[in-house]
Amino acid sequence: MALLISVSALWSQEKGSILFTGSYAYMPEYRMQGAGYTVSYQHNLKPWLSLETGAGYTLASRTIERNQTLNNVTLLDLNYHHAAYSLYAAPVLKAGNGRVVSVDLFAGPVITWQSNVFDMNRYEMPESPAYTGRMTDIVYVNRVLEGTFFGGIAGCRVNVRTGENWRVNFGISATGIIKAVSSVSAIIGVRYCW
Amino acid sequence: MKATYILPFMLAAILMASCERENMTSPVAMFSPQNPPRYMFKISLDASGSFSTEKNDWLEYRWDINGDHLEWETGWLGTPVVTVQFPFETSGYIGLQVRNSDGNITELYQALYTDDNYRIQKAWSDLEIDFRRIDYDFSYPDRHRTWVWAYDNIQLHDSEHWYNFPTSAERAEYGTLVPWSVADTLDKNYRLPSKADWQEMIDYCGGEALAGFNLQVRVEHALQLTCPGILTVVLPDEQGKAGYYWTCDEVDEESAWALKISADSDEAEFVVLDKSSLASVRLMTEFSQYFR
Repeated sequence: MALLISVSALWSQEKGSILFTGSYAYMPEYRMQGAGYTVSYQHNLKPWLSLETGAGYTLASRTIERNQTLNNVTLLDLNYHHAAYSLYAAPVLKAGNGRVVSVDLFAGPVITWQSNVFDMNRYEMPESPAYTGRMTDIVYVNRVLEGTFFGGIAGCRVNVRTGENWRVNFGISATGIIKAVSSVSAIIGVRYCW
Repeated sequence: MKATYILPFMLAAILMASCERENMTSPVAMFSPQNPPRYMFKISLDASGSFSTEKNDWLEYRWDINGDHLEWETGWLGTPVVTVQFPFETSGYIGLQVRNSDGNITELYQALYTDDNYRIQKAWSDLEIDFRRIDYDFSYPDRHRTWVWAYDNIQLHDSEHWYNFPTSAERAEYGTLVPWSVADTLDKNYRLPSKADWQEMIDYCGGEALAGFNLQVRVEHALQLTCPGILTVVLPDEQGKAGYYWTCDEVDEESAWALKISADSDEAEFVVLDKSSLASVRLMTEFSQYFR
């Protein structure tokens, strides 16, 4: 018991850690699905509080299958594409720090650069009269949402110690972005502590 | 930092992430001219084939008639058909935007081509005062057709049997107003057009609704009909306001059909005139060359 307590005390005195997480991301507004990764650094201030900052990249897409003909017009599939680079900083509340299983709760601001392309329509026109010409018979309409946006991130992680300096973690997070694409993510990753 | 501060932030982020999005689909835009386009002729552009992919939606339309991509020549219109003068001599792009009730817009530019094959030359006729003629050429798989129309109103020397305008400028523009019996027997090679001939010309000029304008429009490939009016008593009536052109089709012994155009109307119509009325004349003929 004394050994366990002393080891726990030692672990709880960790100064910082590096996390690498992969994520499955879902964007409920546009029903896009994708994946991403995040690299973050966590600096421990107290046994129950850390500061975390990280950067990530996410890719997602969605295909709306149509393949139907209305009024001699063939409606083609629509695609949504999303790519985002994000930076965030968040205080982390830690529960069970120093134990084999611990929980992190974090929330903080996010700045993100996003590029989103949403197909609004894509269709193939019927044959035209002899005196009408077109560059292409496919009419394509999209909306591009691109730029730097701000928002917030919040989530929780469960950490499981797997070695003296290593932990694996899994959890969920939600990223709300004002005037751009928000997401919820399921995350899994590894952490190196020192 | 307590969990009570973090949880509202978390909830706000989740709510923002899950809020419902508006309709993202834009309408299908389509348009075509109702008649083959001809330079400066009025044509009706019809976008009624456009539709929304959403139920219970409504559409609005606006047009870039000169295809300059700079300004929209019309505002947002609730009706899909617009009548304009075709601005291109040979070809050009015309643009359409269709907007649905959510404000989503589809834009479509299409090139429209004219296909006029004509020449203007002097007509060799039995008349003492010659007129010009315009030959419209059409090619078909089995033949080549030349459709010939007088390019000027027929002019005759002064006579008590018909009416000549007092000035030479008026005579050149309006020609001579003649009774039907004179109009029907003017020349051996050129005939007085029938109702069917005029109807074909009306169709060529965009149909009854627009032919009145297109028959008068001052462009080289148009007949450029004028409005000399009609003489039923002593002096011409409706001078500068209407033109009456005889057809060879009789209604009965006393009256015959004539084509009427008006300066302030796009429409052309057939009217019945007393054969003794004095009206204008355009002659025509046609011939075909068959391929062997």
